Amino acid sequence: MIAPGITILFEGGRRTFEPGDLLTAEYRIDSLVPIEIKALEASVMWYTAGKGDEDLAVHHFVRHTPDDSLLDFRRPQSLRTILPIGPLSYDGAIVKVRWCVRVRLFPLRGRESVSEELFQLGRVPQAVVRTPPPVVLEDA
Amino acid sequence: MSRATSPAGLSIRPLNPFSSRYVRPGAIEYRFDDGSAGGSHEGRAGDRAGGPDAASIVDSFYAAGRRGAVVGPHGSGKTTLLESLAPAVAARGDEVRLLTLRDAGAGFPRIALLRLTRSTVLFVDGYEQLGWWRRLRLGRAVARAGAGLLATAHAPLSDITLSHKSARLPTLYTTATSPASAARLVRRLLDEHAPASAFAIDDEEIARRLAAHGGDMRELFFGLYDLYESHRS
Repeated sequence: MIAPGITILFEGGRRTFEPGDLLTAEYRIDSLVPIEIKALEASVMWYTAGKGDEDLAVHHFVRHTPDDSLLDFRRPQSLRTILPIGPLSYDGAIVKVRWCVRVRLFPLRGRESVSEELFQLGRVPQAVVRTPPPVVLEDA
Repeated sequence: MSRATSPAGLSIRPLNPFSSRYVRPGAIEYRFDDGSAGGSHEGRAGDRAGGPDAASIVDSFYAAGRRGAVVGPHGSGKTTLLESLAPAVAARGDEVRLLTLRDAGAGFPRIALLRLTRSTVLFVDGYEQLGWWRRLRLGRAVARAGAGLLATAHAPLSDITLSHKSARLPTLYTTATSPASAARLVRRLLDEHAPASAFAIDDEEIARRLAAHGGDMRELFFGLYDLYESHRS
């Protein structure tokens, strides 16, 4: 059986935001066959990645279950949230801070599906690694 | 991972393929070298994936009365192998509980909090961090509850003369890295997480770096992380 896909679209294709901006996105389940769903979760979150331990925090979270009488899983769902002041996206050498919209689908049977779309919060420049020149020891 | 380019031209670059999230135990499966684990219970290992060898180790674990140890030096894949064995143990109806011990046994809880039962299999990662007294107490608690115990350690745990027999564990598998397994793993990480990258490293250089780190795969990845970052700057 082919696992259902998840599509996430940012309003207007916008992927760069400033703190305090309104993020609007749509997400939908793409499946060739009807699927029974246990839950559908959408998060706006950040995480760190790099050489060491990782960290994450969820800024906005919504969970849908079949009990949500007003929800039609066949239709796209929308998500809106005001973005916080930080942490700002950062592409460092040792650690990177990534913001994303992550959607997780838990079917009644089978494995969960996860989809993630990155966006940028703020405009911190990328880190540049500079290798120091070799030290030359002069003869005494 | 998605790559997104903003209208303003800002771009989000793919993560470094040697980031913790890609190389930590559980993110990649343990892989045995050409099935050499076989029935010998001694084998070379370095990169990861499950397969029949994991099943044979679990068979040995149950044959030994649900007791055993995975032994190997730093960064040789013990923790990764432990993670790869968990599904096979769970498939037999046992409940796997992982206890990760840090320096000098930090992270060791009160025995009562472990809630050991007959269907529990306790995975202890870093067993050598426990002193003899804690090993003895843990071994007796496991035996009393009729639970299973699978541990990782840097040296065999079967011939400790000073501790009670309940603290001794037969060696089920010995992990080790090799230049070939390191090269395969590096290639796989690059293929999966940085397919469009111009970063290149040959097998000889991987072997040299692995040797420089005394065969420690974790240290090899740390070094390659830095090399990758300097390359893309």
